[in-house]
Amino acid sequence: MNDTQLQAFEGSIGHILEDLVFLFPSPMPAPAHEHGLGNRILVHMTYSGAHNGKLAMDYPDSFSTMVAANMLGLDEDDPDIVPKSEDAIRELLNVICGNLLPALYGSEAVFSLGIPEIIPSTDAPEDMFSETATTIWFEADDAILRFQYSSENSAAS
Amino acid sequence: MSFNILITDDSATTRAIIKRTLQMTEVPVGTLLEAANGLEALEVLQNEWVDLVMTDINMPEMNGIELVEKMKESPDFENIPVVVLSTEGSETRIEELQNMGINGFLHKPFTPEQVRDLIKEALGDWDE
Repeated sequence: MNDTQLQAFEGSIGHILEDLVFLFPSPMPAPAHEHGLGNRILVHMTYSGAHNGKLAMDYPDSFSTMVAANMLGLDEDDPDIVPKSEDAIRELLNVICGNLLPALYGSEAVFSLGIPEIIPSTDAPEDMFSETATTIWFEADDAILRFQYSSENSAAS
Repeated sequence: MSFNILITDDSATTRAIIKRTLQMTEVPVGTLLEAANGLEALEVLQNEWVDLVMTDINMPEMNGIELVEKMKESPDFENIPVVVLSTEGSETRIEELQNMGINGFLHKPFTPEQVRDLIKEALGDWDE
């Protein structure tokens, strides 16, 4: 991924977290010890069309309730939040992906987005992303977020 | 005057956001109806009076494009205005949907003002 595409990647994530979740994330370098981040959840999805690829975000457990509360305008202690948090996280990744692809490939390119899936990070296959995948880290309201993106047959991969 | 609006999206979160957004606009809403995909939307259309359909594109069972196709094939539903709110917003896809007869398109995420303007575009002005 070249610098322009990397900026588009970071910009899409930042813009959606601000506009949809009302969080103001800051890019950060990769943590020195990833295994020290505690229990992590992974949401991932595929896309196909003009290019095929994957997008994933891993996050601490508590992040999903914050996302659901902010998106739905509810209190984080609301008993309705927990059952809604997975749907909110899936929709967040879906919207990020939908905004990222035209930013990378232009507004004419047509894509179909897959359905986001949530798994514990420890269950993610080691080869889910190739060594050429792009990884960026953000901090948002004390939550450390990792986004990984890969694309096949494309200059962006 | 108030409008019965059918919100079709597989994400319950997005349906809730749209409902909350509509409450923040001055759109005179009658009944808000919900469906999680195109098939459910068609069932609602058969049983309820609907003035406007708001639909996502990417949904399981029956997606938004198939829903619009089915509605345009039906003499009962062909004249019901449809607006699309989706993350999938390429110019090519929007043009395809416009050629199918949709009344407006909005890219997620959206603001209450954008939703109000979209509905005005589809239903015309109402007395505010």
